[in-house]
Amino acid sequence: MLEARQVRKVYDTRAVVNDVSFEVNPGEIFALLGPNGAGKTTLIRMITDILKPDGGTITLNGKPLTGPNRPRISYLPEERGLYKKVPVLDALSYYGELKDLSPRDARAAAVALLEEFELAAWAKKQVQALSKGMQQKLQLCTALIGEPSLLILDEPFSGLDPINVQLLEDVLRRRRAAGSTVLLSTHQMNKVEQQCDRALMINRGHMVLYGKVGDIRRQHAEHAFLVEGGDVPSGVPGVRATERVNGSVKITLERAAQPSQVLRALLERGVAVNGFTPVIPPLEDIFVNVVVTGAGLDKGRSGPPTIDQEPLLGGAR
Amino acid sequence: MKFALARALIIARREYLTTVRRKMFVFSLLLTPGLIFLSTMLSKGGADEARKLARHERVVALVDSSGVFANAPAHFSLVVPADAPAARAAATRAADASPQVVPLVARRFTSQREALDSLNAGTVNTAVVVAANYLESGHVRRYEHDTRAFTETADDRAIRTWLTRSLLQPTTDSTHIDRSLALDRPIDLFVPNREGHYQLKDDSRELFAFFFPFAIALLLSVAIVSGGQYLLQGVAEEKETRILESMLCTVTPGELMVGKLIGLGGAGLTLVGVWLVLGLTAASGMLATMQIEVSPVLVALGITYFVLGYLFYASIMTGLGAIANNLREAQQFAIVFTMMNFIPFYGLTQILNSPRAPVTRFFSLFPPTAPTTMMLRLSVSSVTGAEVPSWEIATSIGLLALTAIAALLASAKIFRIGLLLYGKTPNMPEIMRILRQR
Repeated sequence: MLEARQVRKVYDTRAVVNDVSFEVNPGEIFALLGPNGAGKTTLIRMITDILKPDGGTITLNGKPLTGPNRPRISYLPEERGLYKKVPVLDALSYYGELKDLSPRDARAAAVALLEEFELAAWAKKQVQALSKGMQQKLQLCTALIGEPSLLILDEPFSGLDPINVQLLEDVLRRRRAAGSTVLLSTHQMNKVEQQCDRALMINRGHMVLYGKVGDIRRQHAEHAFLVEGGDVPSGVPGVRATERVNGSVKITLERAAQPSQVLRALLERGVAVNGFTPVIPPLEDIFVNVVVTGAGLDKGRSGPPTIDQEPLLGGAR
Repeated sequence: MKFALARALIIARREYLTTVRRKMFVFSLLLTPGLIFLSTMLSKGGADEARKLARHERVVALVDSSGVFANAPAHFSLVVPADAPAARAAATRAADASPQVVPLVARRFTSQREALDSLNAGTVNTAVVVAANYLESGHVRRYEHDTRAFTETADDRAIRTWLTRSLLQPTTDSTHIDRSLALDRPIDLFVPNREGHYQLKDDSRELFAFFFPFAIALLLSVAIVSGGQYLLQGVAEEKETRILESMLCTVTPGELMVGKLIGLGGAGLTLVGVWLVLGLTAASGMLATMQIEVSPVLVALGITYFVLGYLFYASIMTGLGAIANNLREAQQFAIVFTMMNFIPFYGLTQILNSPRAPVTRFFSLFPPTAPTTMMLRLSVSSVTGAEVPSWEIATSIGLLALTAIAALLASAKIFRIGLLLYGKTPNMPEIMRILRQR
């Protein structure tokens, strides 16, 4: 398990990561979210031991990120490159050897990965002969070789066509099933909803959201329901506003209203209710709302709650 | 993460193989000795041709307006002796060595015009015009159709000797004439050797004895610079193409840097090693003839200065590659440091003539110039009595070692942070801040 406690990084007098604490469990796909400049890359660089934190601790399986833990982490940065003038297989094997595989094992692992990513036919070609999308897949292979227990991927879907996005999603699912932990940094919120178990969002270096993806969405839900069926008449007790949405009606409840009482009132007024479901906002809306309103920043500044105290932070309620 | 030598060696192997397989490397490896060989052959061919021409009979048109040379013989042969003691010794040792003989035939002309007409017609090779008041003025002119850049001295010497003999013959016996002509050549010089005993100063042998360690010093300087350039290029390119950040998760900056230092230093050394072997093979005959010996101490010091010098310059190049935004920018920064390494060659005359002068000693101790200056001084020392004091060598090595280690540590820090700085080259205060950072 990856565990970060009160991690802090200061450049000059500006804290770019400010007392951030979180856990990533084994076999979990964990999303690291935040707007540009929020401190995500700095946080990742501290997890990968490229940068040293100015405060706090980061451990993997209870041990600091030095010594034998180090080779078990792989990182695919957002800005990435490859050695261009070497054969694909050699380029990949080299990364395997750096992760302490013997030359023979590194080659075998490279061959297996190239097959998994449908690049086997290009094994002997020079890297520069690959298309951009293929190079993108090869970069993913360099991160995956050596079976890392923690895989950190920064915008792994960028540059991939839908088929390769599907391929990568399958690969990530297989890695998770095999017990690998994946830390995913992306701005594609739909991918987070589909792929990730839990998420951490930081804004201006502070933790502003943290918890299960479903919980975050539910807790940011408006006090509103989608009514499928007939029209909603005006004057229903507990209903503050109505709005037609794609053939259904979205009703926003008064703060004190109970959904069951509103449903009963609708039925009593003869509304044909075929569906009555809470309106849960997409993660993208929550992201935008949190960033625009600066929600959670004050709480973060006064000292974030520890993991044990409060799993969910901030957000408009 | 702890430093793992195995990972550094994997990086070193890759860097080495990638570099030596580059077309540019192979090109430099083969083209440089090829060009040297070609220029040597051309130069040797020119010299041989000139020597061959000198052995041909030369017909001289003599216009003696003074009448002083009325008894000059019509046929004359100059046997050119070797000037330097070593050349004399070499001529004695070499089986095929034969003295250069310049045959000369004189034809008398009564006027300069006739003589020049014959010269223009090609019936004579040279026209010598002696002024009417020769005994007072000493004026003699030589006319030739010479298109060579440098005139063969043997031609001139043959005519001078012929005229001198003719001038002195009426009043002096031949032995005295021979001795006075011999004084035209340098007198054998005896100077104290390292043991304080006077021995014949042999300029030619000294030149060869000096040239060998000098060539090694030069080649080591080239190796230091070429290894550093490979590093600069490698790091700057990898930073530009964003390869290194993902690697820094797997290997430490220290491992990456040491791997590159070993691999690319090895490539530079391979380059110079091949040149050295080719050079030694080509010059083996000459070295054996000249009986040149290089002391093991000099070799050991050469290796020490190379390792430390390379470590110093390579560390700086790595740091520059890491902070620069692209290769072109990195190369602009690197020029200053590359020139520093070659400063001693610019002051070569000073080092050769005054190996103990304060400026020479300063450059021997100043770390950026120490490897080259000290190797040059040691080269001078190996052929003269101007021995370099042991304390100077020890201080020079100590200072260089300390500076190299400091450069390595600073560069490792700059390397770690600099690789992550994209789009902006840090200025000096920012670099200092990087050095202070954790």
